[in-house]
Amino acid sequence: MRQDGPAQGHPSHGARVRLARLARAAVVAGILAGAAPAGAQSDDAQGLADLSLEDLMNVKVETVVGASKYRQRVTDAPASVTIITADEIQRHQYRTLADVLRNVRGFYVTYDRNYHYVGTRGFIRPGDYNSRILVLVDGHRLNDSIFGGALIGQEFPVPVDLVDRVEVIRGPGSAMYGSSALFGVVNVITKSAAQAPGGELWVGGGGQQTGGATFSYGRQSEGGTSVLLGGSAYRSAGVTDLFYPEYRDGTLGSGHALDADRAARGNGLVNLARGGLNLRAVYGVRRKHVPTGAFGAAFNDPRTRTIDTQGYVDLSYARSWKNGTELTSRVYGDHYEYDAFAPYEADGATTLNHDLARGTWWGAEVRTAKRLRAHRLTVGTELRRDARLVQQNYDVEPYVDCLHDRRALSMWSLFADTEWHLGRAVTLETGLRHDRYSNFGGRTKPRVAVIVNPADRTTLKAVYGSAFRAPTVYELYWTQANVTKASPDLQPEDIKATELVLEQYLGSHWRLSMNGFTYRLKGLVGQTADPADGLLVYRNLLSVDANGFEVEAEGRWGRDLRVRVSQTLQRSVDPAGDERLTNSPTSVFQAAVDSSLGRSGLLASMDLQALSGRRTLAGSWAGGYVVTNLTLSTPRLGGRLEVAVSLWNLFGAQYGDPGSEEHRQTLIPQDGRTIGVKGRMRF
Amino acid sequence: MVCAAILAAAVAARAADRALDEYQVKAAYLYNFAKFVEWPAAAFAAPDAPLVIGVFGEDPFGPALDELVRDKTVKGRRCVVRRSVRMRDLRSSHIVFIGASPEPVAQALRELEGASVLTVGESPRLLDEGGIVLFSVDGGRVAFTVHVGAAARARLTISSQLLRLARVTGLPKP
Repeated sequence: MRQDGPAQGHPSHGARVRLARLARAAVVAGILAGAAPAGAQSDDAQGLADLSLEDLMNVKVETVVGASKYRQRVTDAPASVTIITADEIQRHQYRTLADVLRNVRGFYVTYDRNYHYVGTRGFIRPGDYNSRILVLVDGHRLNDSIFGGALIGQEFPVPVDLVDRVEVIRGPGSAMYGSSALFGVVNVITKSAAQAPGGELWVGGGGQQTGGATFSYGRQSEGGTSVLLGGSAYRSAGVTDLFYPEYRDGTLGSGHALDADRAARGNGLVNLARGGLNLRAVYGVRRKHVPTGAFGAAFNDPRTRTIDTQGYVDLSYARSWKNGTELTSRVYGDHYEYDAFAPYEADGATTLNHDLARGTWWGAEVRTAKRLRAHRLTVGTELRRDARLVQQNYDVEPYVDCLHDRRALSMWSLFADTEWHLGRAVTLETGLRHDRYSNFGGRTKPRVAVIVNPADRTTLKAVYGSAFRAPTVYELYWTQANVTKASPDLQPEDIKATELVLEQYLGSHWRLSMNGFTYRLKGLVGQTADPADGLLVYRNLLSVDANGFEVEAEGRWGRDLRVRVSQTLQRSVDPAGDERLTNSPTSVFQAAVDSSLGRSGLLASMDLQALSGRRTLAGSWAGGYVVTNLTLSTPRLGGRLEVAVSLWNLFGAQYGDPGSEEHRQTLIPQDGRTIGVKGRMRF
Repeated sequence: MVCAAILAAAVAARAADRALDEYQVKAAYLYNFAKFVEWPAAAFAAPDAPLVIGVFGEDPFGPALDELVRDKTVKGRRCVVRRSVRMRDLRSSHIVFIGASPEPVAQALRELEGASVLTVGESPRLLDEGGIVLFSVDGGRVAFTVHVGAAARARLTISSQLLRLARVTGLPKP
């Protein structure tokens, strides 16, 4: 996960302190405004009895936990939210969290044959390991302590078959979660024993000599204890012959990376619950061979590989009292390991280099909430200690020590969140969080949302939020002799975003979601040469201005037919150069259709992603593409077995994702048509 | 233009499709089940005896269920909600909602074997263990599956209006 790219960037603009002050004032005003009127709770029970069965079947009851750290209706959440359920994951046979996300309105994914990177709002930085989106598993932060990144491909440490649902909460989330939540929060909720009782086994295989299996076992004991155990293993040969013309040198067979795309993974999950007590543990290891020759590694050498290991234990306790008080506390411990082995050629000899990072951290969070009629106030605090932050780099044989950096960091935070009902149809949500780090200082980030329900079938939301991303330990302290130096003065990146959301039911089958957004990101970290000594250093160099519009229509006709179509249009520029960002499509179009096939009980599920062209680092354009995936699945055969057959990239679209600074390739070609078969057994 | 059209559509909106709490919707379903299921006459002690909805285990409904059935009659009978129903009292209800419970669901269902009680629950194993109606949340909406074999064993007649909207399982083999 290293970026040793060339200098790039522009001087940043001056800080906009005034706007921040205004925002703070707005929050205070909001809280005061909310305190004055005590709105009446809308009485939904009135008339509930009048709803027909048909009406009931159409009522949306989607809830979200990750937006405000408690369960609330999606329509009440202070953000634009998309929920993906286990049912959709099974019907479309999503293989990874990356597959889930590429089907979320406005999201797109790129792959460099090592990691998957998710973009939204037209934003993916080259060399960024998903450090600007916060990924949570059951509310537990997954972004690591060294690179700030989240693993979302096969390297995601939870088997995707054991995911109950994924909540995607758009927009800045630092008012709730602190660092990393610049563009949004992805909260992955795993299954519990109640949702997956008994044993289940998934076994699959397909193209690229891929095979894998997942198991789960859930049990609720008579004493009230519920346990879910699960795990998975996966192996793939990948593409056994990858041709990169950038590495052609005239010799026979040059440019071909042979048998250099292998991957293997294992992971496991434990969910234990008793009363208000929850113990969750996750552990995953993934090894991937890297065929691209990234970071100047010797090309077509099967020794080039990365290994990511991540695990955590999270123990939480929640209880509530009859007077409307709730208390949630949790303690956690995390571990992350990164290892990269790469051979380098110099003076006719090849030296194997080992680059590694180790992160160990633990923390605690306590929050308490009080309900007063329909209003709600939450206050909380979180402490975290990064006890071990190690970055090391050495040549294996002969042994040469290149870097050995050890650090420890601490942070604490205070946060508060209020939900005020101003009459029947208007809700005001305000949140504020202060984070204090032992290295760079503090950040205070607000979120204010006004949610209006002018009619039963209409929800309007106006959201203003601000967020930050703490400089990563890698950016701060990773050095390479005579090439780069540490950047200990690096400051956080800050984003301010405003969003308008409209959700509207149309007729008895359609739901329409629209949102418009605008944001300014400042202090974006980039690498530049220090004129004093010519060494590369990270600085808060860039700003980004963006705005965009998303519209989605979702139709359902009972269980037999579902249709979802969405279009995102956006523009992201660096205001200094007025230049379009790299890897930023102006248009993202997505569609999905699920249909039962006659009376056979077979289900056909199709999904499609279409991106417009993207600028590459070289200044050229990666052409737009349309990728279509199709899955046919059987109903339960004999009550136990379901089988699904998938064709990914059904029409064999040829396209490439932009490479990063570590790649010689401007474009990295993606997989053509690939088949997969998977069976699911219950016992 | 688009916004104007949408707002116009909003004005014409019906009561349905609004965002309700999951358990408000499930409570409304329970009330509808009372309307669309026929119990044998022997299931009631008297012609004017109330129809009893029992909640076994944890009550997830809050006030929703009480508010819903207050002052309502179903086929001339009052509706009554009973909470924290004990194992041995299960058979005196007409509908039993089986919530999350420290006691095993299977044991409650065994206790109800042969009784004319509509068992409704959420545990994925419910139908395998003899339950009749299983709630599920599918695509953000509450759906339900009816085990018609178990309903027949309980001597309950489920109207076609209800079955038309349900997923149906447990059909006798032809």
